Amino acid sequence: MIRNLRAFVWLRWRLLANSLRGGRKRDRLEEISRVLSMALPILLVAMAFGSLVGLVILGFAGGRALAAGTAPVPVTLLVLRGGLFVLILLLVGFSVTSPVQGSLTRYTRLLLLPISRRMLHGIEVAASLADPWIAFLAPGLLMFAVGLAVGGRSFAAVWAALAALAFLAVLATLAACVGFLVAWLLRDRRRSEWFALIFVVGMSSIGFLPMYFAEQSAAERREARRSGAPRSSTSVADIERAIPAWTVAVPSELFGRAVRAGLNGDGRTAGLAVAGLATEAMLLFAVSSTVHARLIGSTTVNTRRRQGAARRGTVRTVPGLSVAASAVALAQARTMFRSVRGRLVVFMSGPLLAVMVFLFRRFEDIDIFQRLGEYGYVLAAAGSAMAVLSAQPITMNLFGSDRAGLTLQLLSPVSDADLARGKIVGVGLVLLLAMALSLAAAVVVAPGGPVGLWLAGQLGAMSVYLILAPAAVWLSALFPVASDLNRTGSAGNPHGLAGLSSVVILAVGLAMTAGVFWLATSYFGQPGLTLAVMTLWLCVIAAIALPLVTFASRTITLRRENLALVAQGK
Amino acid sequence: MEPAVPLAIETRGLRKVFGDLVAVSGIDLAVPRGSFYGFLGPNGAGKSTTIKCLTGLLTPTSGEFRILDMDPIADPVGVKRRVGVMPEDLALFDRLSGAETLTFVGQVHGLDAGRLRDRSAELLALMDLTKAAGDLVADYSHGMRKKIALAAALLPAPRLLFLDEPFEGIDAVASRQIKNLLTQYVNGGGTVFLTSHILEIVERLCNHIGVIQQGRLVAEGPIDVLRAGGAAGRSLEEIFLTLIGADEGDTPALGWLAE
Repeated sequence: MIRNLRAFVWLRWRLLANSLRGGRKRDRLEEISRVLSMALPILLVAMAFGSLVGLVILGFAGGRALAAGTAPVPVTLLVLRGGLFVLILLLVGFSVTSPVQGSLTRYTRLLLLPISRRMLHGIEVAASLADPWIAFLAPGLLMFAVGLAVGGRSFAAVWAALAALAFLAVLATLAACVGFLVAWLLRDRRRSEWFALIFVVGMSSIGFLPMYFAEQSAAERREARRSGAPRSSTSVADIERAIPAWTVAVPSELFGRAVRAGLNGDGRTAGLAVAGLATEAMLLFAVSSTVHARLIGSTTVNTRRRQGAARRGTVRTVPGLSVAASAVALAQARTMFRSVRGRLVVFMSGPLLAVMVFLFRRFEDIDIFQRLGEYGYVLAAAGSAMAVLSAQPITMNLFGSDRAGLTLQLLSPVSDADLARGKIVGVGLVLLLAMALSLAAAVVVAPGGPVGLWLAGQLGAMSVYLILAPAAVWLSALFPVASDLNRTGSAGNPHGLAGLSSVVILAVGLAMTAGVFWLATSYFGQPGLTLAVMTLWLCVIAAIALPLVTFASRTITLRRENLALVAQGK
Repeated sequence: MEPAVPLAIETRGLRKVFGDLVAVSGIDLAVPRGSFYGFLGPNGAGKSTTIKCLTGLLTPTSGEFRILDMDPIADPVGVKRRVGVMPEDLALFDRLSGAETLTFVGQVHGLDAGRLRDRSAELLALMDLTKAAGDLVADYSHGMRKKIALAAALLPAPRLLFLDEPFEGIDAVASRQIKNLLTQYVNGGGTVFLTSHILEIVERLCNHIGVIQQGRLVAEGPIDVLRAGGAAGRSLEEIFLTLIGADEGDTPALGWLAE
């Protein structure tokens, strides 16, 4: 058992560490590219070590201060409970997005090992104690109990230590449960794509909630001020009262109750809280066992195929492009639209902004949403610009996300210029769809205004994309990264340098285009003339950008070998 | 030296180096047009690297080579118009359907809509993929992926086919059909350059072989000539093992397996 456990802890750490490192370096530029992309993980590791030391010191000092009475118990415990609650959320998030979950072959390999399924489950749950978040927290929590003991509160220290162990058991079983569930969801391609889409939409929506509630609360306070009610400050007791009753079973709350009862010398309440934590851990263990059984029972990736008559590929060309470039453009548009990231570009950008404007425009102090609510054409243009920005994982890694499809293109009689043009037009086709949706969403939320300005705004968004296009080809060829556009984590991102550059270029392009739009609107004061100016602006940008795309395609020739290796996921 | 027969592939001193690793060490290949050429070698010998160099996926470190009398460095697109490739990783878009994959390949090779439709339908039927033509390649089994990759390589009717392990993972029925198809293709003047670890298939299909080991070409020529070089009646497997110096006597005993 111990030998197996040790092997599994090692396996988890290696999978995590290896997900941060690349393969064999190929050339000097690739070496630089790798070094640059390693900067972030190194920074994260350095910060993580600092955080670990900080948590240990904080835990010990907090325990000692509570024991000595130098820290107020209500405030300290409120902060501790809040921190632990946030950590639970982070743990769930980490378990969902962890690169460890990505390997589809992992369970097939594990099932071949001479270990019973029940033992395999037990070992995997125990091994999740080595997950980074739990490994960070454990020393801090235990040092909190040590701090209490050193401060002379041995009774409280014992309950704090027991509660810490039970809390860690809850975290480990929770992490395992979520991890197994996500791995099971990822077993099936369609299921995993839906999961990724719902996860991103859900997380984005949840992200609005704190802002929404804060604004609602601020609006209520303003209303109270207007009606002459006296201004009151918020106390710990107010916060405690505001915490909903159902949170009593949340592990962080149970931990807080055990510590508070220990400090009060109330062994019965402390015991009940620890027992509550232990029960939760056992329940989660049982649930995780069921999920684990489902997971290992579905080692074959069973995908449901599309029903109905087989659709034949229809031969279409894009006007203005050669046949080969058209084929590349249509393949790019199809593969992009069928990926999770591509669908997010289309369905999230404009509609999401429109929903935000709909929700927030009633709050007086968020000026931007009120303005967007008044000027629908600006909302539509902003939504389209957001689509261009959110397409960054695709535009800045035009070749890396095709994987083996890129090999097919490199083997095909397509010139590098046609390849680049086709890629740019293909992404542009999907962006046109995203812009149409953005326009429709804005019309629903904030209708009205001159048609000329609505159209001019969309032409502006397209200009921004064209401003980015040459750099997109150039940086995609220089810094290709084998990526998966169906993954929500870093596995779907472009190279850090390419991503950063795109943000700068988009900011400049957006500022220039918005400036032209503003000047045209203010100077002419006629929507029709603004539309004419923006059409001219788009033509000028296209006349400069398209030859630059062709010029940038020379980089593909220089980096062809590297691209071929990236296509193999190397 | 002028070759007696026109060559589909000709290399001189082809060399590919990755850092300290010499993957291909100056090989001289001569693949006659209309031949069924088996390129053999143990794992890691340099077969796939050679194919990648010949198909333009890798740039040779040094050496010269010509494909169908054309210079692939000077006119890469021209060479690709006349060559079909089924590479190691199959080179497929996961997010295109089988039919869309063929449409893409047909379009970039400049096939008109009518020919593309007819050829696609025939190839899909031959590969038993008609019903699955609308499914995404991501949902295909390994064998189906192989078949659609082979169909994509055949679609433009190339004069030279590079096939990297074409029979691995393909069922017996499809395997028979593909063997017949490739034999017909060669009889019609096409050239096949294939790698395979299944020596029985190579022995049945190929009339020329080249053997590579540790990046060096250790033997090349008509299979009958190579066979005649040693004891009569030797199988290709025996010839191959002798050429790479891996006779049965070299197998370690692993006595602990019998414990």
